[in-house]
Amino acid sequence: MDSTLTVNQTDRADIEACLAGDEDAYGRLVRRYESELAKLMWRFCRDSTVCEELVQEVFVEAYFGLAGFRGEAPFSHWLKRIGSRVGYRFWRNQRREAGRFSLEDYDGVAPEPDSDITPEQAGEILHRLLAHLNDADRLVLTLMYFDECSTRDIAERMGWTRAMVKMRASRARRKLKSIAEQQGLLEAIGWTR
Amino acid sequence: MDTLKAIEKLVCQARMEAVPTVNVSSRVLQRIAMDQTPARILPFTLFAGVSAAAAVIVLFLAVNSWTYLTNPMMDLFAPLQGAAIW
Repeated sequence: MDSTLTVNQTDRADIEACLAGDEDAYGRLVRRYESELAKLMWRFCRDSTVCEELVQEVFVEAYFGLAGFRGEAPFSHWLKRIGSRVGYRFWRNQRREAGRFSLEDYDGVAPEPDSDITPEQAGEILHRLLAHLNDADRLVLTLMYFDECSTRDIAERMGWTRAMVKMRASRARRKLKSIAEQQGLLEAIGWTR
Repeated sequence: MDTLKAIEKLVCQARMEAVPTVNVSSRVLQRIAMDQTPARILPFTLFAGVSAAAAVIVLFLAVNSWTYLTNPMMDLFAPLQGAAIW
């Protein structure tokens, strides 16, 4: 069996110790995966304080669900599954309060032709564009774009059918294209040529 | 440039973004310890138990009293029931 698709021995030992009541073992698991998880949760909020809270939330949920971890996939996959659901829930709660961003408010990029934009600017622009989609479509594209998930991975993470994820992905791409055109993406980033 | 191509290019750029470092292990363990502490519901449970017992006693007395209650108007009509009208 492919070793990347199973739980590694260190994780397994820590999980078993943790289930036996050793809190330090869980601390080690948290330290091992917190930065990997932060990369995922950052895509849901782009705010370092909120990101920390989300990462914390994921690890707390994971702890209380640890007895249900069957060890058929790496621990990081299981954490990312919880992370995707926590992030999705965060968006749904946030949607009630916040309005939508617009690229018109975005002044992070000078519209100079041939200017290359930084990864941070690219991340910010995409975050603003994706925020115009509904939460499920946004999640599908976010996981595809930033976590390089396949439709199968997303379906497994979210408990959706693969056909539904494929349909959402294709619809979301079309919507995103039209939103980007409405918002004048190419003009905003100076890629008109 | 095509919009979808531009988006793909942005995605490639954004993947290289440096994410802020997080250090949550101590807070996670703290929260877990807090969530594991059993909620202090014993006083409320006791209070609810005493209230329920009191309610049962009051109900028992109330039902007994109700069965002994007579219609206050009965005293007016009872003597007439035996009286000969003609």
